[in-house]
Amino acid sequence: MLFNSLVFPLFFAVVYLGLRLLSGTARKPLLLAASYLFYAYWDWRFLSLILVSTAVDFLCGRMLDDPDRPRRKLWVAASVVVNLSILGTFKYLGFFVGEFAELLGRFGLESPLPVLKFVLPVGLSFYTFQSMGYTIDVYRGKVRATRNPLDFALFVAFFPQLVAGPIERAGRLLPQLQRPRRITRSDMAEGAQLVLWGYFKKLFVADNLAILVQKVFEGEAGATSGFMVLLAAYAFTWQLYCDFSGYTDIARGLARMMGVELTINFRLPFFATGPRELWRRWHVSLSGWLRDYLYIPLGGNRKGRLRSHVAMLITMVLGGLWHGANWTFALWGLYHGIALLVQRLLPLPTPGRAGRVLAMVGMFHVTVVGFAIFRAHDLAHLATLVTTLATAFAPQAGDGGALIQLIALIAIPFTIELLQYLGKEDLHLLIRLPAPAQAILSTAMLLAIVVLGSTHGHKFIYFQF
Amino acid sequence: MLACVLAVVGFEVGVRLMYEPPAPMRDKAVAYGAAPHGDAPELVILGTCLPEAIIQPDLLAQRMGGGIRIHNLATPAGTARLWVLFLRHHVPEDAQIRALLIPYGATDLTKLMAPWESQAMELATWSDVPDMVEWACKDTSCALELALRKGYRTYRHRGYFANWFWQKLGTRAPIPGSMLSPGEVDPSDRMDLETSSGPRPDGPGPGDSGPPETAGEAAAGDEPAEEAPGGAGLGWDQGPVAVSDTDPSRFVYLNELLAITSERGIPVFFTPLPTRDKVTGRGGGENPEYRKLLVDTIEGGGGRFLDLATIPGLSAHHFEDDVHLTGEGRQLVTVALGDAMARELSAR
Repeated sequence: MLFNSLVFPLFFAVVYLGLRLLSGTARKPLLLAASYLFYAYWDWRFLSLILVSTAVDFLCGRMLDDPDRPRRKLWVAASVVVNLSILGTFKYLGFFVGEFAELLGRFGLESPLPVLKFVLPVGLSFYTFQSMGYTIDVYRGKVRATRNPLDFALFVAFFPQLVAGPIERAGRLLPQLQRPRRITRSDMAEGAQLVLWGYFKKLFVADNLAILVQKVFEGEAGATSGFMVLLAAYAFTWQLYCDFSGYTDIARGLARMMGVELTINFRLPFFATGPRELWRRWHVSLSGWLRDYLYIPLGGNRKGRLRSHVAMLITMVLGGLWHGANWTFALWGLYHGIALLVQRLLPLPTPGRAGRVLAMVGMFHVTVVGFAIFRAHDLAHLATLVTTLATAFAPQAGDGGALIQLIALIAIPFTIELLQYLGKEDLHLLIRLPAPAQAILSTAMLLAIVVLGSTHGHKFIYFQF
Repeated sequence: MLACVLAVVGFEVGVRLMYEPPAPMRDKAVAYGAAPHGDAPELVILGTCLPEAIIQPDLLAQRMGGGIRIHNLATPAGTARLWVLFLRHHVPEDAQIRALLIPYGATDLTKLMAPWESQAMELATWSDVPDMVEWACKDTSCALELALRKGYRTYRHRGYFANWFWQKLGTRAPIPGSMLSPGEVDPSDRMDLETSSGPRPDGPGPGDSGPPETAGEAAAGDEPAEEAPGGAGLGWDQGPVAVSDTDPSRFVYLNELLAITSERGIPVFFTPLPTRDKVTGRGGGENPEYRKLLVDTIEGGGGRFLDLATIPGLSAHHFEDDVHLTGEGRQLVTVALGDAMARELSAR
């Protein structure tokens, strides 16, 4: 079920009413049933993967809970193997088999493996990482394993964040689900505000930018100017941000309305002054996961500088591939890995105010280039875009309109984020506004959603990952 | 919260008071309802902008022997769904409809539009909604979308308002010759179920003549887009499944139209419009399976299929393009139709 489908508000209204009417103990089965229904509405068959992941990790968690139990590594390995096998089969197997066949074909050989095509289950990368993170945390002794399968199943499948995160840690989410707290008026008001802001970013900003982006990235090669390619790269950066952070805000808002606090996944990423800061601000739950469960086990900072650099590059490339089975994602990860490496090897002195602004502008452009790589279909498409940019930059008739549209669409989110940044990174600025300002802003956002929201019903981009 | 509710309600009131969406079929239906009836037999013509432009009522009446009142209610982007809604709600009890004539082109009779197509929303009443849901909706989202568009005018016409807004900002160019003002529509935004579902599995339909017949037709109704359920994505997701020309779901409105005319005892005649390819014999794009199914459906439902295979005197030079006729061509077609209708009606 999509947050931006018309069924979802009905679904949520029924679930919410149920939550308000039921007592604490009866809420959990309702939430779990609702979460499974939410997922099954897309395709009930893939619910089986969630159930497998849940059952295996619950069992592994129970086995790992006793620190004196022998062969604990085997149990944690079992969890990792099962989750990565599911992920690998549905997300990567077809791609790598195809690449292998192509490689053999270059030497005139035929691949002995059949061509495989799998439907990618929505949200697979998110819930497998979350579930696997739990067993690793139990293994490391960071959290105690839960004895209640219902609690754990809800932790894996909690519907607001099931299909596109944030990837929650057991230590943060599980206790909130185990002991639901009373839902307060401020939960409802602040949750609703976040939901509205999220829908605004998704339906008004991201989906309208998608039209502009699509014209270039899905259009005929050579049909657009280099100017439009540049514009589309900026537009896609904002589209992706507003789409994904919009989803996260809706998820956080819905959870908040149900008395659950989810992780803040975006902290004004376009105000980062360098690559390291960017990854502390962009998709925070994934970068934290990769740091704790991949970079550190690969050696982290403990085994010398060279090993640390290699670990970082591997982490970033795999982080790129986490987004999908395509070399462009790997290249995007490598690009950011190299950027991080450059920052490590060539540290700059702490800049002054003007220097910070320059660094922000520079880092934003590094990010834009990265997302152009991310959005390209393949490396050949990327090369075509770069060629167009370099050889046919002159704007064509109508390109000015696209520029105006881009500015009009990002003006509100940029202004609000700028105010948040200037207000000591106050991410709760919208909620703290005086009531009249809040009313005007909320009304404007609601009308923009209803009247100017794109009518094409785009899926959330990160549903594909 | 209260401010949001008030703003949304206020905007809706404003839309209802100040915005009258262009809906040619509704306007013609209302005018027809208000016209005098009962004093003369009537011939009612339904169709798209082609028969609207081609048929000359006075000449047709004359060729039919006079004494019959012609009502040409063909409108741009007419479809069988609109005609069903017209027959359900806008034919006065005292109207003496001698015959209903539907000259059609391409797949006009079986065209799949999104069920919330704006012209249909203007004509439909709430009592039509269950049928529209049953016939055109595959899932709950579609039914909700339909109900929302029917009840909430701001939402129904959001495509128009958005288009107006972006045009005022200078980000979209108006279409020359569009019938709409001030928010002319970008035809690239138009997306009915056929165009959004990719190439059809069984190739082009009978008489398919490519692009919409006029900019006005491309922009028929007031909305830029009649989105398909599922919608377009980022190129990373799949669109809705294509529906072939011969799929039974395409025939529901035609069947309903035949059922209504049969129940009311109105003789109904369907005639394919001439195209340049047909006249010159270079066509061959007709899908025989579709044509047979169409004829079987029409005749099985009590209608009459009038195939004016050859129209005396009509040749390629009477066409301005593949489907649009010159003044002389229009006259020739009207004469042929009038003569054929006179024969048919006198034989009854």
